[in-house]
Amino acid sequence: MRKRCIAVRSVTYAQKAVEVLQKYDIHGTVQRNSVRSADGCGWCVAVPFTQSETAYGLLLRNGVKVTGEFYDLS
Amino acid sequence: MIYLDNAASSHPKPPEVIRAVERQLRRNGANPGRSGHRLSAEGARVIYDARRILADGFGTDSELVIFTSNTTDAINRALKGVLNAGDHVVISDLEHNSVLRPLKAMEPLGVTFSVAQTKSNDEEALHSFQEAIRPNTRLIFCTHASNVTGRILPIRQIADLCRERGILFGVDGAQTAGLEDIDLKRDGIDLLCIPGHKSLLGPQGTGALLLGSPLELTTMTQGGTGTESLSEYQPSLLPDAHESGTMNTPGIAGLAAGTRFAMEHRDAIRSHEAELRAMFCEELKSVSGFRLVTVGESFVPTLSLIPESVHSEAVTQYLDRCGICTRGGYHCSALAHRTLKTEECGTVRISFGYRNTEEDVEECIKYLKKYLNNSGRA
Repeated sequence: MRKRCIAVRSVTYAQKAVEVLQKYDIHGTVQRNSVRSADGCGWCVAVPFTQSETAYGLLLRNGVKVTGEFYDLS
Repeated sequence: MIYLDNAASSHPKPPEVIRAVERQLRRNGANPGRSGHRLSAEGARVIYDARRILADGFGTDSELVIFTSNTTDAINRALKGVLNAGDHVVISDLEHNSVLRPLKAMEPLGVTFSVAQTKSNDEEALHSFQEAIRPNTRLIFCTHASNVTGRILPIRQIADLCRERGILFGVDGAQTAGLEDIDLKRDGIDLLCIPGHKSLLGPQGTGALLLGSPLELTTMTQGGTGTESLSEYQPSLLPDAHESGTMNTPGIAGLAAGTRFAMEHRDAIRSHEAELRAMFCEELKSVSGFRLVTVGESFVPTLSLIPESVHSEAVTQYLDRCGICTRGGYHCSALAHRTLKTEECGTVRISFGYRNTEEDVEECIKYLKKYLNNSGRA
């Protein structure tokens, strides 16, 4: 399944992201960024691609600090 | 052996806590939140679950929970994180050295402090805090309950005072976290410093600094945080900014298990321990030679006895030989003993835990009487 990784600012926020998304029945998994991010390394939450826009909005509204970077996994 | 030194560290721990630590050590020694492999991610999940449990238990958000190695570490981070040259702090006359000593160390750097007298009741204590405030007071920091006498201070009223004056409010929750109902947002607490190893029933080497809202704190240590590794600067993001280096994952796993247990049984434990304290105070009436410190309106299950004509350490050494663990001397609290005027002899501190029983109280009283008889002081 195609997934989108939404980069967040720390592993704590990655965990928080999974927790937030779970409440809205969106399955997220915590992953290490597999591309270089602005300051080198970091974490992301991988969500189904078709739900990624919804997921991103939910994360913003629920105080999850995202970096604004995305990348896709097939 | 009868253990009556729970104010120092709780013992024994619930089996769930021991299992959680052992499981973490056995199953996953990976560094949490550093590598991308599943063991590292699983370790990070254990840490996050503990954050969540503490955040829910103390009325704050998970990212506002900063893990520390104990309360002293948390207090140092709070004080040194918030205070700058020219700032003034108000503390109480019952503070532990973990509050007094950092402030003394910061005096040459231009931080000043005043000591409010807690006196005999909450109203007088509150008035004293009010009188101690100056135009440059940035913070009131006080203990929730004295580690020497067990006296609980009126922190909600002090928080109201701080809010009125636009002052930050910090609390040393060493003796109350896991026992009293503390909610940072509800109670107006900006910084709460807690140990994992007392009433939260977790292992030693754990603690936390909890924030009521995102506060900019100067970091005390800088180093690897598992993110932004190409940046030469410490991330400013909470809690990472204050958690450099490898976390104590087995300890934090144990802390999570302990907190879960403590919060689930908090009311019953508090009631049980309060009953033991009351029973001890009643039985003590039949023992001459020791004076109970009674100043205050409400107490945690800790009490101090002032021995007549002997040093407190002599008493606690005798009790130890009889198989009873208590603490004598000055309890790392110069201010409290100055306030109590017990700098000469210290006090015998007895602090109950959830596993203590009425029989433990009776045994302790029996041996206190025996001590007095043996030494001809009865």
